[in-house]
Amino acid sequence: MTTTSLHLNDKQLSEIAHELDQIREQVTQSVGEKDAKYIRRVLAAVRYTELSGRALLFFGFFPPTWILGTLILGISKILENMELGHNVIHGQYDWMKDPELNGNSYEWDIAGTADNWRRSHNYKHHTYTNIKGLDDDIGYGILRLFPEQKWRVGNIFQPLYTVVFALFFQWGIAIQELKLGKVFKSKTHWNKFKQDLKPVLKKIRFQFVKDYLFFPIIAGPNYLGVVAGNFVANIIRNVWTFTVIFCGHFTKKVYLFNRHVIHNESKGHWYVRQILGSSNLSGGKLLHIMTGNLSHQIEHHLFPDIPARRYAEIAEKVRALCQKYQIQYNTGNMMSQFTQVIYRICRYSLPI
Amino acid sequence: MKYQFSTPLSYKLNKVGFKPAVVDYWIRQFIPTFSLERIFARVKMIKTEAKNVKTIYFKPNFNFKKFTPGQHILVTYAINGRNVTRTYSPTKLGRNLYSITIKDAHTNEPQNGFFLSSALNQNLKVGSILEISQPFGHLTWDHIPQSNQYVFCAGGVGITPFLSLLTSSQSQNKNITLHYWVNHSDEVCYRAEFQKLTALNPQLKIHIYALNEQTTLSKTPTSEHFSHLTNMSIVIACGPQGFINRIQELTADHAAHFLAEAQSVKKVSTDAESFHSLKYNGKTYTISNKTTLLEALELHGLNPKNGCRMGICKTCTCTKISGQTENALTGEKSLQDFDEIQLCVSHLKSDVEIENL
Repeated sequence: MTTTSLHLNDKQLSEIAHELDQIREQVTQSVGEKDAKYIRRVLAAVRYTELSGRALLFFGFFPPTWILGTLILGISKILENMELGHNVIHGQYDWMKDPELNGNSYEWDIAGTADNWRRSHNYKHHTYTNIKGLDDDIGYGILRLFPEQKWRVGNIFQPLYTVVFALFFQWGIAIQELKLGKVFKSKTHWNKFKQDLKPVLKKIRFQFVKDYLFFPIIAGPNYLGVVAGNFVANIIRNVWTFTVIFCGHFTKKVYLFNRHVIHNESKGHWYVRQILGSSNLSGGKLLHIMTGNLSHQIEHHLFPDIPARRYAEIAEKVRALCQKYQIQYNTGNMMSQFTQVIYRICRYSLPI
Repeated sequence: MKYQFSTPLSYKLNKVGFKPAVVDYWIRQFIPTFSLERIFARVKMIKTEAKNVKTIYFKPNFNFKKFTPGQHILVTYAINGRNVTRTYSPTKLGRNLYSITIKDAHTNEPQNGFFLSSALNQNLKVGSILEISQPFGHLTWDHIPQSNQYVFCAGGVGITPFLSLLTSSQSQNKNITLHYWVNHSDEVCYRAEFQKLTALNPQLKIHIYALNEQTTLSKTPTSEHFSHLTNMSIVIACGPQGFINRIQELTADHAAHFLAEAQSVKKVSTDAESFHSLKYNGKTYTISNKTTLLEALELHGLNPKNGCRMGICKTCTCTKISGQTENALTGEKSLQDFDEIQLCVSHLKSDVEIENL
């Protein structure tokens, strides 16, 4: 549903803003040693799983080591992209002033450049969450997920090409900021494209050299086994990140907003929009870590720069606030949330 | 310090798919001070120098470049998970052995100049690892003008750059008088070193002024300390800003040159207090002209990168897009748009917009 106005009046909205600001204040004041130790442990886990995954793949196609190595490398990449990379690039750990964990310079193990991500995700997606026409993450320019989006003949096939999109999700993200749809429209677009392409190609080459040349070559005769393992590990990561991200914003009850809501938008309205445009995943500690705490998508959208390990404690307070003001708090287990996402993809492939 | 692929090795490794940070991580599991680009130092020995004052001896890794006595380094160490950086004046003791002297002022206020020193004093052990910067600064014999009389004035731990200068071989055969003011005699550092130094250089005179200390002159700087100045004298002062201002008042009319290094900048403009808006990375804050931009931003909960907090290391340099600021160190006003300013010594003179990327 497209929402133009909320059931809350200005006074309530400013109360909500005040309460959420207070929650933020409490948490940011207590950020310190424990959070620093935690993210260093995550970094260590990423490094050690990557090392063991790659080491196991050196034995080539021998099934027990190949399967285990591929799985561990896939898990390592997921952990690096989600709990480490995504959160660090949000600047959640900038207060540590550690050059390795700095949001402006961190570069992650994925085809897309961190610089483009900082723009398309940190800025556009987080500022204009679920606003039609401003948040490029709504369908990533190729999927129709809300009835308000214009239907094109190609959308008929979206249940099929979504599968391809999920398998190669990292490439979709990599080229998102290049705006391929506009390239041939004018000379300025073409020139901008040529400029933007350089860093993207550089990053793709870096990833390619690492996964498909360097590590395979040092494995010698087991070259192909390593190539295949790395390829599958990337796919595992792609499918998982696709699933988590789509569950975060495209479940059944999430709101889509009209462009005009951002005119003179109050802090309270912005906060409520983040809550209504996101949905959580319920589950255990492992799920939270493997989703980079995007299982707390709502809390992440309210406070994108607070260390993600704090979202669980924040969630209790946010839920209470939502109950108080009767704001929908969208949550459910992964199975049911993802089913809703698939329903959306299929349902809105049809024009009516 | 940020990875900049600044060494040929780290550049080449990055080309073939190795991030320098990852290489560092693995080698550091075995050699804790290793880095392709960054400078880590291992604490080799800790000596109690005086009451609440310790000297830390450390060995930097191979990235540390040529150090000239009198120069400074930045030291970075994590306090409650946060890296804190301050400036120190090391003394070179051997081919790759340096020392810094630090005072525990029992403070846990980040705004306090002794914040890092206090933490280092309490937490460092033999084997601890510190991150340091390349040496910088111009208080070296090559930059100090030639003269037949040098007068060094140290206030408290401001003694450290002078010890560094005095231990250098270049101070041999120079006529140097060191005036060293401390609150109490049990806070006096380097007594043993002073004895050795005066034995080596007969032209070196060292006077210590402190409570419980036998002195003929007053325990605070007065004109009688400087009665021997000539128009060839070079006076160098190092210590808290108030101390430096006092020495300058007493000596400026008599000496040929006055050089100073402040340990904390607390000079506040004499204008009446006024408030201006500061637009910093897109957000707007209201800030008094009495605090430095760095302190003001920190009070607003922001964490701009910074180092020495006294305008010499340039870590906090930002681009001022518009508006006017004043440098508290030099009194210079920045009036041009797109000027580079340092947050730690700049005060607002009007509404200002700044970008820090």
